[in-house]
Amino acid sequence: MGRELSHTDAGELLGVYALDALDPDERQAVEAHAAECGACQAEIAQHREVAAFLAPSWMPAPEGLWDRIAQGLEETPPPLEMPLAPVVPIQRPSPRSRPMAAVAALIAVAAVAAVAVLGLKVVDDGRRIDRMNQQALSTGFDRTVNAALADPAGRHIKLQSSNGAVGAEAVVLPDGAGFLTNKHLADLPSGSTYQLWALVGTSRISVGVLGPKVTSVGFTAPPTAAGFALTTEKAGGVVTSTNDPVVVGKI
Amino acid sequence: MGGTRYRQRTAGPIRRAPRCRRGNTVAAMSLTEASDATLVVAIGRWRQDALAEAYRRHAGAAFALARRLLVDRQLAEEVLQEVFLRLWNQPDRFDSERGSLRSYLLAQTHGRAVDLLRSETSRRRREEREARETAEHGTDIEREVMDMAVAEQVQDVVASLPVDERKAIELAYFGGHTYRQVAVLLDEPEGTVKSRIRSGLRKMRVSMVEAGVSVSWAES
Repeated sequence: MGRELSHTDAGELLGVYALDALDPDERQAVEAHAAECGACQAEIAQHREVAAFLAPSWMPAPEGLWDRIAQGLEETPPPLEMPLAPVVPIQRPSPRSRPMAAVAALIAVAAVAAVAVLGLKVVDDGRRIDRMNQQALSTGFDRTVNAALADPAGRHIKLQSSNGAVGAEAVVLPDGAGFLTNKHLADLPSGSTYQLWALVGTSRISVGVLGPKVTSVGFTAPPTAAGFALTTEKAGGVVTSTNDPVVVGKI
Repeated sequence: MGGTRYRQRTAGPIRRAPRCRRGNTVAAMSLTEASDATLVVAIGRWRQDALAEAYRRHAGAAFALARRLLVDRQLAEEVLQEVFLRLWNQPDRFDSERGSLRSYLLAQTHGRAVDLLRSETSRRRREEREARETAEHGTDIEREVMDMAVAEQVQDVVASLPVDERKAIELAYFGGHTYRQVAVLLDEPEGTVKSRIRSGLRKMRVSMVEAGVSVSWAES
């Protein structure tokens, strides 16, 4: 049909839309209107919640179906949409700092080896989170981040600069899933990136290279993290950082 | 957004069965206590055990609805499989501010089951079944209404609806008919049918809130 519905016309169809009782052309017209109309989206959700109460309450799920679903999960990874950020090469050591540089080089070798061995899983995790992060401005992911930030079960952290200004807020949920959202972090020039570090004991562990423009991102928090810090680094991030944090916050 | 790197342990171990997890007991326990919204966040991070937990919580209701609509067990299983794979592949389509995960999954199940009902193959099966049932028992909308909700409070709410609104909702929701088809079945104008369905759903919402039925969106 391809026609545009007025708000009133769309409203009259919301009940039957929620029950999947529209022909395809009318369904598309309602969806086109609702995509731009929060009130209609809310009413559809309300009707569907009522309909969920009409549904038969429960019956045992089919034997063996979960196994078939689990098998299907391995067959459906999305295509690689963006490459991982390259690891910045370790700088040549100066004569005076040779022992520290040697340690850093060993850590770097270990990190590269770990990435090589574990690369597939890292790529899978990274691209899925990246895909969700990419959609943050226009889909439910930003609402999910907001919900996580409002979750009383989460541990909340304000990352502040030396003058006390809050640059970013983070939350770590009980399962270790973490989310960081920008409050007042300025965009960096191209060639630079924000890098997020977990503070564990006296060490900093990198948990994400965030790019020069930060909105909302997901990360995984080490269980022993006592806080988080953001530094600015060269694009691609670094294995170890000697830069002072832009903002830092304790759990 | 720049390429984000994550440590290897971001990914939980692959688990094939929701009730046969091995290891990672703490994580498993926290998932059983996690909210549905937290589960979906974990699903977004490739946590198969989170999907397994969502399946454990909601597959029974989704399967019951699919069986109610399709009758055919194999078709209902296909719908259930598709719905949970879709949650795995597109977790961001669930919006916790718009309703519960249960209602989202049931809406997905209903939509897919109705698509199948309207397809040629299953339409033939359904017509054969309905012809057989009609021959044996006759059409009994009241019986359908009586068992379409098990909770006593919800039954009361449904029973309090005007009969014409109840019939229209039941034929659309459980029969998988379009409102135009419902209008033909009830011999009523199409506009009347769509108004009755909307009105009936609104009355049920109000009655459920008044009856204390927990609804996450209540007057939000």
